[in-house]
Amino acid sequence: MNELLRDRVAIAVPPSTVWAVVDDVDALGRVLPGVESIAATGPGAFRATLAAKIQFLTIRADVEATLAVTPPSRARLRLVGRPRGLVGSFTAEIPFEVTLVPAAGDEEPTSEVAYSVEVALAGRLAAFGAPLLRDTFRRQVAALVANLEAEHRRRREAGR
Amino acid sequence: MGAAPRSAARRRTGPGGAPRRNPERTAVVVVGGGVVGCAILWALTERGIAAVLVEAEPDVCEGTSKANSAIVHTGFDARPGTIEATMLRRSAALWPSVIDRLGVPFLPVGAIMLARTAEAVDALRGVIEPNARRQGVEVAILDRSEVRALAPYVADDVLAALSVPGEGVIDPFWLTRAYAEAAVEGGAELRLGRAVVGLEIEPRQARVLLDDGGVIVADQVVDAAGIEADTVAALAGERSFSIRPRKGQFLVSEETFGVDRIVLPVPGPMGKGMLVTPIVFGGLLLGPTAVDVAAKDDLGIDELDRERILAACRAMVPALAEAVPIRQFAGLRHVSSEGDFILRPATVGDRLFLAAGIRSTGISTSPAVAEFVVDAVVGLRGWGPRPRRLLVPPPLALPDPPGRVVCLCRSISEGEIVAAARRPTAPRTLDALKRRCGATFGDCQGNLCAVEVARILARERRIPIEAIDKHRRGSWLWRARAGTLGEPVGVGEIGADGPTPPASLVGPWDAVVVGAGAAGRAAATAAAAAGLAVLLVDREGPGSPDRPPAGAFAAARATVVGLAPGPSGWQLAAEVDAGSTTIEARAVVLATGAYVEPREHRTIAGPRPAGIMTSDLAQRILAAGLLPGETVALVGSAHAEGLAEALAAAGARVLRLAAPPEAVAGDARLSAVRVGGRWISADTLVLADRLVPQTFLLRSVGLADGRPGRPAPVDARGRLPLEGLWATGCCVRPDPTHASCRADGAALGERLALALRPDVGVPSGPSGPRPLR
Repeated sequence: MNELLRDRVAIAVPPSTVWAVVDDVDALGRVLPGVESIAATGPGAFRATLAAKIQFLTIRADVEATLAVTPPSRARLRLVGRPRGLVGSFTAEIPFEVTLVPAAGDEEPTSEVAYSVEVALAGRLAAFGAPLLRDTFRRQVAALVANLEAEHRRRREAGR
Repeated sequence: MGAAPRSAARRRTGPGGAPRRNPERTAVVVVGGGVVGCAILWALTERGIAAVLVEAEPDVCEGTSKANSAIVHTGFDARPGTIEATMLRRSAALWPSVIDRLGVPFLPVGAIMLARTAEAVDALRGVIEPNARRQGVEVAILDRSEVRALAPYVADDVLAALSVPGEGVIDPFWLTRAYAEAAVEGGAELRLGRAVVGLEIEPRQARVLLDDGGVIVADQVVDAAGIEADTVAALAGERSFSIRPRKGQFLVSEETFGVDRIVLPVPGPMGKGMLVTPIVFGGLLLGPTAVDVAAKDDLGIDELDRERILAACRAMVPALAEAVPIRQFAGLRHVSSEGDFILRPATVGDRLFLAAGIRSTGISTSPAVAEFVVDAVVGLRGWGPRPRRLLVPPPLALPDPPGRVVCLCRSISEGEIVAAARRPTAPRTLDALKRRCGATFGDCQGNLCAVEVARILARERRIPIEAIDKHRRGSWLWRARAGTLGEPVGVGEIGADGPTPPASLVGPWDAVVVGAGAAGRAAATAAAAAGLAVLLVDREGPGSPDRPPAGAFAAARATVVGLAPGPSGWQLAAEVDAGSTTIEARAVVLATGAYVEPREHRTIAGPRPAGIMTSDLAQRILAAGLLPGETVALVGSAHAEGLAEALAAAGARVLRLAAPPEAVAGDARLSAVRVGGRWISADTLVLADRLVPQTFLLRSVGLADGRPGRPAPVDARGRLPLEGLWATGCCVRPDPTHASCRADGAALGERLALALRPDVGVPSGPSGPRPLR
């Protein structure tokens, strides 16, 4: 595996919301960018078809995912997939840690997520080059953060 | 470039003196299919103006637009008050929308300009930074520690730097093509491979005469013919400006050495200096040089400039001392006699508009230049306000499953090649296809797959394979041999649901041997004889007639495209006739062989015409029933004996060379090679002298970097640094004999068996157990 990216992002939702979404495959389907279909296949496991836009090409991939949570704050997402229409496959390991960021006064606490992405690319995706894939992954993370914050607003409005 | 050669005369007859055809009519003819011409075509079409683009070469982006640094400049160092500076500023505002709409590969990497002397620091602080701020470009001066924190790969002697976060890199082919494809989607027309041989500017119309006898009558002509813009203008009697070519040579390194942004020096008295520039799809571009040359077709490369580039770039990024350039090329910038961009009506009449002298920022300024030119043309012609349509290229539709792997180095499938061949700017040459899908762009530079790729392109275009050229007109790849054409390769229905790959392949196996050459077969035989469950895979099929199956191992035709750790040890991503599959194994033996080092990895001076190939390609051309060339200079002996006979038997005149030539000559096709200072006429150069290991599979597991031809890093026992991975044969030691490959493979198979099943032991053969190395 080669490390593609190591970064941290701030999310304007409390860690409890992050973990609640991680534990709910339907919610994951709403917040993961480009989900075309998703179904739980067991505890901490799901199968999905994901679409990711690499600027010039939207790649659809069939993905098997497993999520191993290490309470209270760590988890590791493993994605094994095959892009449609392209030769090859990919495996991505994404360990992440969610840290509570206290807020002042009555405001809700938020989260900081530190993550890294290690990938093993077989075939065509390897020829796209790490810079372009890194850029794509960063965009996906930005979309995920926005979706998570929208999900949090929905939950709050629904009184959950 | 849209013009015929300088000598072409204005004429009223077509080729052979035939009368010209009845004229066609359109609103605007754009001459030149570079990035500026295509951007203008797009902008015209978005305004609903009927337009035809005429380009002499068989593809768009064949001139300066394809051979440059591929940087989207902010204009931080532009000369204030110039048209160029104005266009750069306006483009900066347009780029986000253009990139998003056209879907062009772009990376906002930023740039750092390094100051390595006190004088350079003074220039940075006193001139360059204030100028950048005046241009409205965001910049920041970094001190020594800040530079090292941002870019730890730069040289220790860097004292300060200017950070320009807004600089980015783009794929110039993709950009030019995206402009053209979006325009074609909107109804614009491309005339590729058609040179302008006459231009008549009249008060009420303009007439464009083409070299095929065609005539286009237009309300307006836009001259965006790049390096030939003055030649095109002169056809109409316009001699108000001239264009001088300035050559820049570049090197490409696949390995990036951690460089993640554009690195450039503070300009000195000798010019802007060399840059280290990330490439969007990975790798680095080093250069360019800047030398005024006399000829507009001087695209030759040479070793002296290669060393100059490497030395200048190493001075900024010391790790580049380890760089192994995989390609060297040259481009010509257009230096205008006006010292700036020329964006104005011609003096001979305003029905000819000049978009010329776009020196080295053609990509960066293309959105603004297109906008400016179209506004000017609309104004000149009194076409009034025109609503704008938003045009984008059609999405890339890839069939699934993608079909068999054709280009092994880049894992490019037949489905991808077909999808590229069916784009709106349909590729007509091998290089045009390469730029659309990457096929033939990998380590072997097409020497292993060019025949197959061309065969697919010929089928899509419904023309004979011998009609496919490499790039420019006359750049023929091979000749037909009457009555000997090979059978078309069976392909099957791309995208149709195929049968499921056989479960019997999946394993888990004790060992999978990749590559059915002498070493691979010997390793598989020895390991299987010792009781291991072994699968031997080869992309050409281990059971093909010249490699009869033997030994108690399973064998399959499969193309392995990647390796990854798996529950049993290793997983091999493989493509078989029925589709994709994953093969599980405790151990993997790489016996992936070697290929002959292509010209692109060597230092042979001169241009890059068609007709230079390795023996790998020459053999494939012969096997396809074609002739690689008529007069063939064949380099090498060890791998060339049978080939020399086969070439002669096919009708070629073969000249044997003991060593590679120092230089080559030729325009579209090779015309001569220089050996020992003497030029020898030849239309074909076949390199058969030096093998390099084929190890790119190791990149997927981090055991090889981007440099091609590095041997698999095995220990004395043939083990790679990751548990369960082994390698043998030519991918370890690229120039052994057949017999030594067999011996190495057999020994490794026995060691593998002992490692995996120490209880079983190795049976004694006629010569007894082999000693371990």
